[in-house]
Amino acid sequence: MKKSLSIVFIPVIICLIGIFSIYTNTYLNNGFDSRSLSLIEKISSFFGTLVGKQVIWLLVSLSAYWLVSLIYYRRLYDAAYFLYGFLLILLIFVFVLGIVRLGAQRWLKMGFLNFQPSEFAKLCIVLVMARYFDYRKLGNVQLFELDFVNGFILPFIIVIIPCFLIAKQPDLGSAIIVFLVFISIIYAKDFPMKWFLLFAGLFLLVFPFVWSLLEEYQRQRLLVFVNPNIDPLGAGYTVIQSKIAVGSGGLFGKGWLSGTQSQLHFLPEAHTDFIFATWAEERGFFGSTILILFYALLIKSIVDVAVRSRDSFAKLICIGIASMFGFQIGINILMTIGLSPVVGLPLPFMSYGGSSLLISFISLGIVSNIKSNL
Amino acid sequence: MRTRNVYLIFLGIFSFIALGLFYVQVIKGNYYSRLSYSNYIRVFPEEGIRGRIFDKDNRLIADNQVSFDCYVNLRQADEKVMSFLSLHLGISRAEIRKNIKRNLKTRDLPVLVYKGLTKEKAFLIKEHALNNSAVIVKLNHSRFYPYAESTSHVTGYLSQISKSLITKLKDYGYSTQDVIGYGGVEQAIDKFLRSESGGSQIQVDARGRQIALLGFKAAKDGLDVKLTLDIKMQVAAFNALKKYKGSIVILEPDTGKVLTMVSSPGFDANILTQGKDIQKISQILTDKNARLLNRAISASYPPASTFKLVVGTCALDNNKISLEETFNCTGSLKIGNRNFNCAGVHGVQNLEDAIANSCNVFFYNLGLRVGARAIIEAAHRFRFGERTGIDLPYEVSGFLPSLLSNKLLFKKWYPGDTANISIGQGELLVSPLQAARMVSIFANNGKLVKPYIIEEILGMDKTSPNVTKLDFGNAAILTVRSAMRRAVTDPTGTARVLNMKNLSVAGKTGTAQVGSKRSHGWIVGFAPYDKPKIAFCVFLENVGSSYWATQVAHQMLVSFLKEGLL
Repeated sequence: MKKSLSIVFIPVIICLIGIFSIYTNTYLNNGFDSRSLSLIEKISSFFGTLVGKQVIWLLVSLSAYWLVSLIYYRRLYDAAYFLYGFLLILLIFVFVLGIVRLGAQRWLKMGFLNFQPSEFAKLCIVLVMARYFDYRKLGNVQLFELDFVNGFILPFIIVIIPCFLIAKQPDLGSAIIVFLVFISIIYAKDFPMKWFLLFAGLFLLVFPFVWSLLEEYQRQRLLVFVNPNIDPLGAGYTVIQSKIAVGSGGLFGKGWLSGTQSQLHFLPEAHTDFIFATWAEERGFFGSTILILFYALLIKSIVDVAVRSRDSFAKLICIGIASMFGFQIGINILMTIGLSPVVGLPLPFMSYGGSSLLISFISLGIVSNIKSNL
Repeated sequence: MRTRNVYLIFLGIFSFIALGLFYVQVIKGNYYSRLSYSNYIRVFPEEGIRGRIFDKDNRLIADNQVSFDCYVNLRQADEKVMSFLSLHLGISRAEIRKNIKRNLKTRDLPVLVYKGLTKEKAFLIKEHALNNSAVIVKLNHSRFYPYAESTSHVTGYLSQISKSLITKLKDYGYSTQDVIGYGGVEQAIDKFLRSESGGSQIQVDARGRQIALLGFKAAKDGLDVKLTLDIKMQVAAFNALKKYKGSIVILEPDTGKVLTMVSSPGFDANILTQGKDIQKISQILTDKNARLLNRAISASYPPASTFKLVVGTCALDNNKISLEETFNCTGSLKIGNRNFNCAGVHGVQNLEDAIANSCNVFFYNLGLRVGARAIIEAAHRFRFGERTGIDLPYEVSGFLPSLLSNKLLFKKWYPGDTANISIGQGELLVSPLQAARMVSIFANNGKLVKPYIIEEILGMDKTSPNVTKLDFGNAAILTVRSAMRRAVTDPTGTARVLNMKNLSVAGKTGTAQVGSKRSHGWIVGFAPYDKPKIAFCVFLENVGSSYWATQVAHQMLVSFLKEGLL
């Protein structure tokens, strides 16, 4: 139990930082004077705010973490392909719903909760790939070597189907993350470098085709990444404003509740995808460096589990989860300072949003269980 | 398995992030701070109204008219907006862009593209712009001079401050794109007339909605000003003058108040102030006749025979001549080896005759007797060769030769020079205002006044007349004064044109020879003779003879009488 706490300690701190940043972005919005309310009314109105909802989600996620950390991770080996099937059903359902409703569909309404299947997809692909590449599958043959078809083409197809469905939602960011998780797992699995090169060549060949598959606004965003000033009030606006927010934080930041970019809503999506800019504006270079340090420690502790584990399946799960976090953090922060294209991606543990938080803590639960079974 | 490598890869990515943050937050921090500041702080300027200019009876000479001006919001101006503007303003896109470039302060505020829309156009544009916040029609105040050409030299005009001026005036609260007075009263007391612009500094959110008022400074209107001018006289004088090149100055003899000051050819200050009609403006600026020149104070000419008043007073005051003493005019006088001519053959003349008939020979003789030193000394006492100190810019001092400086320059002073200065020729130069002040001394029986045109800056002190006694014997002044009356009443008097039935005028003409060009014509005088209300100077450039000046003066006085101004 003590071991599992060390994994979850840093994420909870990051979550609290996130909740403070969400408060910064939203406190101007509830215009009423809460002093006149009774305690019960205060509590109920608190849980009506975004901060309150995020607190509830944190509590739910922590319980999920605790529950998952109690499940022996090897059970997931058996469940992996079943979960993959479930994921495909969910994604197709969302896809069809999108056609029916003629619009973007990322969420599934489940009672009072909205759930984003694309978040689930990230973890699911980690599990599926970990199982697929677990060499114990063929009866502990240590020197088992996969050929190009079995070692790349087949898993590629397994991954690319949900990727395509997610990109069509449209959620390019999650699709990219799922794909990058796949890449890091095959990389960790000693994927030969010449195959990588072959793959890169293939990618260049199909790139025009992929480009034509993208939605107009996604293409626009990628173009704007190259030069945000081509459309300063449209697609480039977010990048410019978030760069201003981060940059104007300077060395020590503008202080708690004093970030003008986020407070006055110059920064779009300030409590979701661009929450890092909010934090960086108020806390400056020091605050953002500390946050990155936390993230680095989190990823190190997950990779440490992978290193220490002697179970290939467990190793791959840990590497998959670490890279799932790592790439999301990397792309998210780089896009706030204009070094990566803007693709809709939450910052793990920081951004407002239940699905992301829940999946992140469930992932940590799995790692925690692996750690306790070392 | 490459488990450890995965960690190294992410270490690399995170270090890259840290470097990126260092660049954005630490190195470029100040730059982005400024950007965030300009994001949420807007300054909405508010202009005050410039002070108005009134004449002595509170008639408006410079007013502020409501003007409809068209502005464009650059942040929203696309091609469609530009073609809309081009269509409705009736100017080309290139011109619109030029105007925007000229008036641009910041892209956050609407930029002026067109001043002075007609009312119909203003409403038309406003109507079309209802669903387009890129185009704004704003009500501004613009300067208007109702009397245009008659008053333009006195009022001056308004224009955007020039680059050279801004470096000089920066410390006095002027800034680029300020409108400032050029010439005349507008320039002389610009600091009182100009309004102080205020404005509010507002914190806005991303949609431009006001969140908080950070600061507010009320705009302050400029002070109104009252002049000594009588606008009716001014207009009548200008109408009499406008066919010629020249100027008319009329003073109130006892106080030195400038009742009229016109210069011809005139210009319309409205055209320069509006700054729109480039063709007309360049026409004004490049006119060979120097339209912008205020000939009343900014130019000086040989005073010619009008100077005989000074020589005569000087001779009488120094007891160099009695009233009975005569010289015989034979049409010319030989001094040295040169013949000095007279306008006619006047025969035997005493001083009064000589003034009335403007006899040169008499004054050659008189001048030689009195001596150059005494004449120049007397001219000094009449304050020639120095500025009157009128409260208008660009006054010239004229020129009074000095024996001392002549000596220093190794120029010899010949008796011929004395003869020349005795009839106001030679190096001597006088501005029409100086001439008017000189004649006012005879009108008010020997008092020297300092001309002024700003009666009162409302809300500040009133100007009080500056009158000093001139130390000439009263007898001398009175003698010359009555001789001036005879110049009008005598059948042979040079100013006999002014002999009017219902107005007693006294005057002295002058015809100034100027090298190869035609002579200038002068008439200085005052009226009514007994209790003068006005002392006037009419000066015409290159008209040939003083006769034309007396004609203009006559026409002017007739219209004064007609309007009951005297």
